[in-house]
Amino acid sequence: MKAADLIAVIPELVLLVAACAVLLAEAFRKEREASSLRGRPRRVAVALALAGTLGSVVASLALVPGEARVTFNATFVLDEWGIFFNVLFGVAAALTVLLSPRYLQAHDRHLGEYYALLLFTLIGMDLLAGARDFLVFYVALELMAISSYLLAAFFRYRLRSNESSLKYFLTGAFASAVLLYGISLLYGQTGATDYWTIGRILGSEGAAPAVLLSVFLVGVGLAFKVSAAPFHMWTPDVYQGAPTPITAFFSVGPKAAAFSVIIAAFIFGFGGVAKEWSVFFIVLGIATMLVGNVVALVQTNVKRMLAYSSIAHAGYMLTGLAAVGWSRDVYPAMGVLVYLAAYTFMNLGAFGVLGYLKTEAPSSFDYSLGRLAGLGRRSPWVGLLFSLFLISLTGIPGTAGFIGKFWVFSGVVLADLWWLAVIAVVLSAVAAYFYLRVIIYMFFREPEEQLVLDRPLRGGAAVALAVCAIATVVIGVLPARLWDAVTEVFATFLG
Amino acid sequence: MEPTSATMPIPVDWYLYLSAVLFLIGAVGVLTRRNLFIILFSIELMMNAVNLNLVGFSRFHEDMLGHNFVLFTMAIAAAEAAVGLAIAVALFRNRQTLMVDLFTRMKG
Repeated sequence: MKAADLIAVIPELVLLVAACAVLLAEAFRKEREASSLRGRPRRVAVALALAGTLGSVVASLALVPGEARVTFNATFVLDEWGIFFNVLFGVAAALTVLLSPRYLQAHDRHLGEYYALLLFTLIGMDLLAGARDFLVFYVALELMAISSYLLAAFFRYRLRSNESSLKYFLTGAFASAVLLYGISLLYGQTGATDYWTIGRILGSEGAAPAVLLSVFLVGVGLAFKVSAAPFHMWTPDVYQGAPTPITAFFSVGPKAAAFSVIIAAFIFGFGGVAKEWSVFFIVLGIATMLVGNVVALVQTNVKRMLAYSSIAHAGYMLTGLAAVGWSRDVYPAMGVLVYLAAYTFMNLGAFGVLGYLKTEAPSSFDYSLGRLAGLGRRSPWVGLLFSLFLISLTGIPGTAGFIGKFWVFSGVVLADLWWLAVIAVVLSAVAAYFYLRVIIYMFFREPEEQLVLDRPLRGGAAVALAVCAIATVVIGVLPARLWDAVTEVFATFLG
Repeated sequence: MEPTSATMPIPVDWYLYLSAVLFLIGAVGVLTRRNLFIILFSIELMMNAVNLNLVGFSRFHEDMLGHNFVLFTMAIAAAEAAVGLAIAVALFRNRQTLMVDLFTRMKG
């Protein structure tokens, strides 16, 4: 290893320093009043976490000029692709940090370790996007997963949070064992673990049963991570039980990281059997869209409804992945990247609004639909923000959600899978019912009992929600910049 | 010449059969058992099946890549077990049971 090797991992090193600083700052804190210890603002930890996440974004952007940085014996690459995901993940984590402090204080569990774990998860996600070797990929995946199990269990005195973490842990560990078995079979057939060598050797073997088995096992392992049906059972319970800012983060961060690694590993490593894995993703995509949208129709708990909606969104993106393999062209993958960027902001925003409501009414707000009745008239700003995110999740033109759906589905149509695009569009029309129902409750229903909010929306949560709202509208109205960035990513991605 | 372990090593497919059986036992254990500890053991069994696979292949290819990989998976399996046991302790404090089918607060 040379010192120059480290340039490509500067964004991760920034995060690592920030995470260690948060842990040290917590260890050296002087606690005076033991009783109100957990309800206090942790300004140092929050500031360090924000500095770390934004620092990694700035460091990634500063590394833009120049060719792809291939380091650590070609197991890790920082190119436009890695930078795109570093920025996306960094912004998502920074917004989560902004949403968290008041929520954690309201639940008497404001500890610095929370921010350190969030930063470790972020390091795992960044490494995952840049990995070009199954060993680095596996280690990064586990760094992300193990930190997220702990974040889900952060309210460890609450049974719901424990249960959420238990389900996340058991399915996650099972999925990574399956994934690892697939990787070991790949190593057996090729004698290598890096994507390119595996791709070259498997490409000459064609669709042998052993190749298909190992690709299938890796695909199933990753399907758990993106919560594709029928491997989605854990998602609603985990999302419902975890602290709301963490749910917001889970629904965008680790999911996007898993998508990034699916695109990279399947294009580079499994290009020889592209048609076969494309069929796998078509089946998964249809099942996922069906389950997500249909089950969301009958939910009365809004947090759980948004969990099923995030399953459905994973389904739309899976159709894009299927189109990549079907047409052996990266054009639909560009749509998936646009979708991921749009989805990050609108979904963080939607969960962020729920987090704000829970913060200001910890005992009376139980995430049920009935509790939201009349909210739009009592707190018009909160109602409007939530409506904007829900409209964007529906995919109505003028919002980010529409742009994402448009690029993904047009990629699917161009790949000659028009019938798949028709299924996706019909199911996203079904989704309009459960999104718009929430808006109708907020603005046109009389509440049985008024939801009393302690304080108006302000501080970090207000900033985070404003950023999400602005990004949702800007991507929706002026998508050209984002599209150009994604085009540039793919110009260098294939080398 | 008398066959010795040096001239007639165990063929690589024997390792594969053993590891496939171990992996399936682990997978069935995770899916059917209800006690959290047994489930954790079964996950460990699946991970060790993978390790066996990697080491067997490493010998077959005559390189060290598989051995290196195993060192990483063992370290990660240990970290994962630590987190799993921590979750088990937290659960037991709240409910005094480790039968996972009883944890059904959230459904639907």
